[in-house]
Amino acid sequence: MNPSLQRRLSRALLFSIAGVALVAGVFSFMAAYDEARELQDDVLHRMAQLVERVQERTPGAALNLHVQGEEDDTRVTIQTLDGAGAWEAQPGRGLPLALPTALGDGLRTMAIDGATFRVLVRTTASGTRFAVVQDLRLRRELARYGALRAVLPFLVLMAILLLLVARLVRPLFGPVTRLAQEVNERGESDLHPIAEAGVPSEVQPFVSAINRLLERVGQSVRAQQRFVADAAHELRSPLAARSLQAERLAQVELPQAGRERLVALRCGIDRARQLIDQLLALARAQAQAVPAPADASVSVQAVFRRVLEDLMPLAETRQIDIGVVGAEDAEVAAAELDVFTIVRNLADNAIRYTPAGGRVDLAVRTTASAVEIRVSDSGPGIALAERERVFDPFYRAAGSDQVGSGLGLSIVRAIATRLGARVALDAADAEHGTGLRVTVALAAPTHRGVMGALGAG
Amino acid sequence: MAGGQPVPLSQREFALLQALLLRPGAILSRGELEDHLYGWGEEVQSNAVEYLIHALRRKLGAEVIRNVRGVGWMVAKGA
Repeated sequence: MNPSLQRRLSRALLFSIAGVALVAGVFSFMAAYDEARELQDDVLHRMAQLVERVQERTPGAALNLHVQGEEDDTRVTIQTLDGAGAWEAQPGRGLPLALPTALGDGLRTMAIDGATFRVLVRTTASGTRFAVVQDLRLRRELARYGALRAVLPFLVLMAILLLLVARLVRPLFGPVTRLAQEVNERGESDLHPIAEAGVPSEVQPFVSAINRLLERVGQSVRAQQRFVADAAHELRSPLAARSLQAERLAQVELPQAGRERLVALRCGIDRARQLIDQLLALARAQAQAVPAPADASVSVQAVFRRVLEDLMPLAETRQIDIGVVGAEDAEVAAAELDVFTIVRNLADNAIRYTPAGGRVDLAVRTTASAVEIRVSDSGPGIALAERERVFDPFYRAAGSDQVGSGLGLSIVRAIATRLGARVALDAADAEHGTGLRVTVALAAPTHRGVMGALGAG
Repeated sequence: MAGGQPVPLSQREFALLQALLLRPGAILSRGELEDHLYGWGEEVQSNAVEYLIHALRRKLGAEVIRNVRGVGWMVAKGA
């Protein structure tokens, strides 16, 4: 699987945020912890000051004091070092504390009876030395609790940020997805440039490159089409000359064998001329010709009749019963020549690929969205695997001995693509999978009033 | 006509044949043939065209007039 930019961006953002939050959390934890300890030292100092002030006003007041808040962790003990006004022993609470008598003034941390204490020693004006003592274990718990409270908002913020990043990153890649969809939905001959408006600037170079490529492909396709058209055109004149020469040869007195060969020769010239005509028709169909006027519309039944007039001789030679099924007419929004070329090529193919005695039906019907022209035959049909390939130029179904140009369906497909029509192949006889039915769905003209008027006439 | 022998045709048979012969290779629908056979306001008999075609084929040979299924009738080019 290819690396996903979206996933990588999301992951990078998430890790950065988590990292920053972690560092910030550690720092604020440490800062809060230190601050809490300083604050507690401050409390010891202030208590000592308070004791000194009390001693100044009422010298000899009791110095030993055990201050305890509502909770166990705010316990502070004040105790003289010289044994003056000694404690009554309170063994349950570990009092009096076993403080060494030789302590100098100042703040220190020391171990007493296996526990660690913060001890502040001061001397009053009267020379009494006393200590303000707090259990360090309780102090640490207090500091940690305060620090955790400082970190908590960070954790909540991080969770919110993670959600936000996920929500923000996904829509950023919407334009890329839409771009891929647009290119994907294009037909093979749709080479107009991709719109660069609204494309993110990071993707724009890529879009520009694709557009340049599309332009080059378009140029090369046009050059190829021009070549086919020019070549077919150039071949016409020499072929016309051969045709004339054959004509003149026919006027000469010839032995029977010569006359038979002349017939074969003229047949060959005829086929070559048809092939060139089809090549020209294909080139014309592929060229992005001037679009038909918006109000162009043509009666399908009229086209059927012209095609039948054209193909009756061929159908009779091959003993094919060709006809129209249904009297319903419909108008399609297209140039008459295009519709005629489509129907003629389909009917011509149907006649050629249906065995003698077979049947070819032309039909038209109007659906909700389009006008469907159908040409079906009683021939062998086209195997599923071949249905896409038969649209390729010069492709002939396996096992067919036909002398058609091999361009008929290519021409139909090219015109249909230009008109925005769909061409579908399926079996005429669905039960046995035989026979070919070609359906061309064309757009109906937008002005529907004309239909009724023509239908009545 | 048929084998060099003159063939007697009724007026309507002739009118129908003439309409088809004017444009060999073109297919004429029943409506168009009826227009050739009848003037304005004349009542058209429902199977008149089929009847006349049948008669013409009997007199001239079946191949002369060809039926194109679902569309109409025609006389082949060069016939």
